[in-house]
Order: sequence, then structure tokens, then C-alpha cells
Amino acid sequence: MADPAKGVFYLQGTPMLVGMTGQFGVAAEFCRHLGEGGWEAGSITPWKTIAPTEEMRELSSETLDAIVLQRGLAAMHRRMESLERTIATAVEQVVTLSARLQALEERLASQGVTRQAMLCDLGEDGYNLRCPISVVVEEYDEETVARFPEVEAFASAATEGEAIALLKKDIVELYEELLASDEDELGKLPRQWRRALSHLIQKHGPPPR
Amino acid sequence: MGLLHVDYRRVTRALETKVGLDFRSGRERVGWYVLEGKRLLTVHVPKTHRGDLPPGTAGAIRNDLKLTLAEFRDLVGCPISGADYERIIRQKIAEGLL
Repeated sequence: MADPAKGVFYLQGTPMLVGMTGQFGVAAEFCRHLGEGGWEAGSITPWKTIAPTEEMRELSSETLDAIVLQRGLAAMHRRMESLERTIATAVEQVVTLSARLQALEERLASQGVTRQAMLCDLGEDGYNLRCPISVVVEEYDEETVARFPEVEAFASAATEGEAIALLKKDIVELYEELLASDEDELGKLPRQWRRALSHLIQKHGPPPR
Repeated sequence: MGLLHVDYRRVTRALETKVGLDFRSGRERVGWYVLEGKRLLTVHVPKTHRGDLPPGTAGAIRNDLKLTLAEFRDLVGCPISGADYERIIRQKIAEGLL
């Protein structure tokens, strides 16, 4: 915008030229010059409404080039600052995401890969399962865990086969220990385990030779 | 800190000194937690191990002890004493869980 009182020509809020009112014709030419360089043609319009008299004067090409260069540098500086802010924000987000990714990886590593497996036999002479039982197998980086949650039997080994074999042993030992215990000396959970195992396991003598 | 990164020696020390498991059973590496003469729960104690326990085993011990993740960490660390653990178990008995 042009300010006739102060004799300053503003372009998009930035003081560009100083001089007498009549000299703003030069600014009009300047704007046209910038317009060719990519400025919005609309930025001249407010000036025309304020400065009625146009005295067209030539600015030297060196002056125009210097002004254009200065404007270009200022714009580049603003873009650089904006870019720096964008990069700083992006870096913050990457750091946050990295921490969340690490937490997720740790959670995954701690949870392992879980699946079900069916046991049809306890692997011990003298013990039969009345029906197959479903156990949980969890694979981690360093170990494989087998669990029978209903009686809190548990085994850990390097491979699934070993873990299941140890789990069967744990179930049989728990069953024997619970059978040998007095009802009074067992808490609520162990009594439930004994009931569950008594339903599931059929104990019999050694096979005839 | 990971979810269950706990040192083997600190876990076994806590189980021995704070929880006071009874190993007088026929099961290898399985101890009973006994309160007022009643066997309430079993804890599967791992074989000798170096460094941190594998997460599956650590999770199983926590589950055996009926503790939350935070409580288990506190038990292995310092804040929870044997008496505190007994209080937690008594609370679960009162709630009908054990």
C-alpha cells in the first residue's frame, strides 16, 4: 500500500521506496517489474487507489535488480526459518516415535508368540488323560514356555517339545502331591487344582508283564 | 525399562528371604507358599541362570505369586517386604480369590 503522507511505498507490508507522493509512479513501474518476476499483480491495486498522480520515472536496472535480490534473499531467509522449524518438529516426532517403537518391541519380546496345543497323553506309565487337554505354548527369543493355566502348571525349555514334556511331568507331580496332601492343608486354589486333575487324570497300576 | 527385565539372583533372593517358599515337596524347583499351615500357591523357581530371567519365566513367577507387574518389581526390588507380601495374599483370601 502507498502512504502519501509519509511518502513511503509499501509492498505486502514491507517498506520498499521512500520519496515524494508523485514518485509513486516509479513504484507502480517497480511493481509491474516485480510482477513479471512472479509477484501478484493484485498488490499494485491498493496503491492506485491511494496515489492519484503517476509520474512515471525510470529506475536504473541495477537498482531494480538489487531490490529484487534483496526481496528474494528475505523470502529465502523466511523459507529457511520455516524449514528449520519444520525440521525441528520432525526431529521431535522421530524421537517420540523411536521411543514408542522401542517400548512396543520390548512389549512384543515380553509377550512372545502364543498358541494352543492339545495334550492327549501325560507321558508317564500309570497315568491316562480321560480327555485331551488344551495347553498354552508361548515362544520367546530365548525360551519356550508351556502352561496349563487351570492348575497353574508350568514348564520352560529351549524348544516346544522339551517344554511340553516338562509340563506333563509338572502336571503328574502336582497331581501326586495334591493327592498325598490332606484337604485341610490345602488352600482354595490347590483344592480346585486337585478336583480338576482328578477329573482329567485316570491313575492305574503298571501294565501286566 | 522393559516389562519384565529382572535379574535371576534378585528374584531368587526375594523368593527365599521375603516370600519364604517351602520346598519340602516332591517337585523339583517348585515351592509352596504356606500361610497359617495351608498351602496356598506354588511358585516355579527356575534353574540357575545368569543375568535377566527370560520374559516367559519371569512372567510365570509373577503369575504364580499373584502379583501385578508393579508389585512384582517392588518385591524383587526393595519396597515390598515379606510382611507386605503376606498382606497382599491375605487381601486376596479375603476377596475369595485364594
